[in-house]
Amino acid sequence: MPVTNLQLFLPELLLTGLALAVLLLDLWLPRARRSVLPVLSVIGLLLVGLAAASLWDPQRGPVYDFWNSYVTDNFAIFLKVFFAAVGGLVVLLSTDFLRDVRAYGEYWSLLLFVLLGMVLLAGANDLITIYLAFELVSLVSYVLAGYRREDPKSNEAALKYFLYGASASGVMIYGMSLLYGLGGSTNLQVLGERLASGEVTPLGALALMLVLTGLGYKVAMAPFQAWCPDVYEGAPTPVTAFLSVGPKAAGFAVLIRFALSVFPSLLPQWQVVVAILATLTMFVGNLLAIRQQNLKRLLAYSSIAHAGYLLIGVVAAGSQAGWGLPAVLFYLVAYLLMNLGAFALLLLVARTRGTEEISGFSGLAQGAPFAAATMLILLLSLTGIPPTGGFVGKFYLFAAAIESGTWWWLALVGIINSAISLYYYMNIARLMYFGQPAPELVKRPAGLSVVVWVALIGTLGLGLVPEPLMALARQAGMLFVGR
Amino acid sequence: MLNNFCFWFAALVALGASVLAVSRRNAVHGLLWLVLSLLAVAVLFFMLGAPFAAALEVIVYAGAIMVLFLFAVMMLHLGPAAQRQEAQWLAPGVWIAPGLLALGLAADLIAIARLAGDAPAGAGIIPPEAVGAALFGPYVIGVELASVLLLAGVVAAYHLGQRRDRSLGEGAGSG
Repeated sequence: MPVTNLQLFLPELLLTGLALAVLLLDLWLPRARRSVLPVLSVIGLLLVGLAAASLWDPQRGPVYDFWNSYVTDNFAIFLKVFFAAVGGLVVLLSTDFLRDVRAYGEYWSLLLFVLLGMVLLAGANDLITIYLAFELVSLVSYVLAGYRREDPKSNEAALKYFLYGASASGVMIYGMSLLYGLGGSTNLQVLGERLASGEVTPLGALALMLVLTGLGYKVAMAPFQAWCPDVYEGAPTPVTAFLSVGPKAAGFAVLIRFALSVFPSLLPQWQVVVAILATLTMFVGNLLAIRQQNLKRLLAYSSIAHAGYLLIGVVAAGSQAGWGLPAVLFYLVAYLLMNLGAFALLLLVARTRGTEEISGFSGLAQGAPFAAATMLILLLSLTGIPPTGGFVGKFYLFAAAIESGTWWWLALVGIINSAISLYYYMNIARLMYFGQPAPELVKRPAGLSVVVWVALIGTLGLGLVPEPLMALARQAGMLFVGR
Repeated sequence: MLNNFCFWFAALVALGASVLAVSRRNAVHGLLWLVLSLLAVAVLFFMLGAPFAAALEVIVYAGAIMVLFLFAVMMLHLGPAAQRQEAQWLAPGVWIAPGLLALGLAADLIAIARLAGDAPAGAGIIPPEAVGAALFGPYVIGVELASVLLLAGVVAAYHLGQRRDRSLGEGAGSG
């Protein structure tokens, strides 16, 4: 089907326009007036989110457009709204950081370009679209990681990210070229049909593994997670916050669509592989997080562990799409809120006390009781303790694993890992409440305060009333059921 | 028979040159082999009945690498010492093998064009219009996305290539 309904493409068009407008305004506006750019970005992203949300229609099935290379379905729309929210929160997180490094405006347009890539990944239904959107996300992410050019650690982060990311892209496109050779098409559905009609060839399995490896790098799945801690530590903190949620979610979106569309015929095989890797990812992330002293590194390992939890949902989604996909979507939202909240507090603490070590949180409860209490709630949520969004999200993920029958043991692994994570998360809480008192936080930049409030209210809200979001996530996950 | 031979020759040159392009320690030597590899792939495209894609491969890829080559030579190394070094890099031992293979590819191309007639190995000869129609038809998102990707790349390169003093405010260097 050629282009039938450009209205469905509205969020993407708006976002492209926004990115270009910000890029040009940066050029034309006098230096003093450039502080309007983040405001414009947030408003624009709000509009993008609204435009995407207005397309939501629980009754409508997937609409294939642009000669079937792009699909608009509720799964994609859910993620587009999610990415717009990610973008808005990260812009708010970044305002303060950029004041420190004497802002250059290309930060905002680069951020919007990554978001465009992520939004396109949500709906990409064609190998070429997927690959190009992935490159857009990756390429700009490398530069964002190295944004502080005068900081050697930031440079190191960018270089490591680039080297790992480029090899991952190479591996992925090699798998894609094999798929094209086997199926004779770049369209995911056509590939799925052609691969399902023939018998499973070793070459098909190899292609699947190669693409899985490429995607595994991007979502920091073990054993491809080695780049993650160094990059997260070296990158500027707002960028780290962004990398830990945004590209990861986009990677999961592609992983899910790809696995369910192209490889229904290899379902049991990829489920076994992903289940094993999920177990490995959870253990690697949690066990290595225990010894970290730098909070950014700790959150990097914790983000590896959370990728492992999300993979449980991906495995379950293969068995019966009833619970797995909604659980993944719900958990992504919960993770976005609690993780960005934790990063916002880290920025606040680092600003006052000049350290990103865990020790910077020492005695926070005396000086800043509200910040300490918020951090405690976010840490509880990251561990998965009620009444928080993290708990409900994990509950859904583990329930999905148990529902699927075969994969019930993944829930057990997940619970064991949550217990391990309790140790290092609560270590921070212990320091905050029983450590040496330290001076209070002097200054609260407005952007950071907004993020902290959104994270706090969102995390508690999802924990106390999860139903509305879960209903939406279920509608978004329905698509693959009827397939 | 002849078609087969031509195919294997070009395919083996493409593979071997790619391996050598990756394994050379000297970037200039690697680039030489990369150009050869791209030329071999162009010959393969031609055999498949896609002369337009073959021409693009030569103009865009091989051409771009030559420009890169020039930039490296012009901008990074100046002075007599650098000239001696360049002469050393491009000693006959380095370029004779790729040069001979490139001549072989040219012979390959002529052989296919003259002797094998108009029977390509693919589904038929693909004219430039068909390539354009595919790009601005089924792959239109890919094309537009590539333009956004390039723009983002330019902005990113601009940031990385900026003169340092522009970033030197009070916050610079504080890590």
